Amino acid sequence: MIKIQKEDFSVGELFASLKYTAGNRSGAISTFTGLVRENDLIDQPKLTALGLEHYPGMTEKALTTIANQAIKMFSLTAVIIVHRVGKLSIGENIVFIGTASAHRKSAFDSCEYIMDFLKNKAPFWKKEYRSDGSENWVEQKQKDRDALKKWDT
Amino acid sequence: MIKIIFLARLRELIDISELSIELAKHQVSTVETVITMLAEQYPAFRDYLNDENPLLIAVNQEITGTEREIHSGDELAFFPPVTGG
Repeated sequence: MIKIQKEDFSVGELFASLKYTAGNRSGAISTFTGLVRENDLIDQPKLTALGLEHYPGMTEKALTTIANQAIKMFSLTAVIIVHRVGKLSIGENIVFIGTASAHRKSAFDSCEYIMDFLKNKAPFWKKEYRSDGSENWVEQKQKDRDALKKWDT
Repeated sequence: MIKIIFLARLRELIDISELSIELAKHQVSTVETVITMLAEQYPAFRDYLNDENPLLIAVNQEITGTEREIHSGDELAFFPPVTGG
């Protein structure tokens, strides 16, 4: 299941949905939640909000492609990806990834795989809003680009 | 007619979120020819390219390169590298 939404999500409800879909052949469920964190740069005005923009139409397709890649690669029995958009405050949920499989290695690894690909391929963009009124678009990081290399077969 | 969408920082810089253009008749249009045309018409877009800002391109919502042919009815999107998650 892929969802892009403004509203907050409940990790508990998504887990229950994942477990229901995964069925009795699944021995492992792994989940990841991304949150809005405070900026850790002491000489910058405080982060007050994070804006998430996306490309409607392409976002759903891109996440579905990533999910299908993960299902095939890790023999998953269930996948859920939920990503929020709009203006979010510190501490709020941004993204949820949940995967289910027969054994734990696939469950653990597939969550990381999906997150690494989402960071590189899913058309979302983050904008920081700070306490002095300034706004700036977050730039893609080299370490996120590098993270894809570990999945090269 | 093709639809062109600009997203995120690029949209803010050129102050356009979407526009429609007619493709030239009797010649093959590619992403490259559209970029050239837009750079001529919109100085802010030209500046973005000249400053060597990375530009990603999607045609009909799939990432593609500049050599891709464009046809009437296509949707072309330009945007910076993504930062979701």
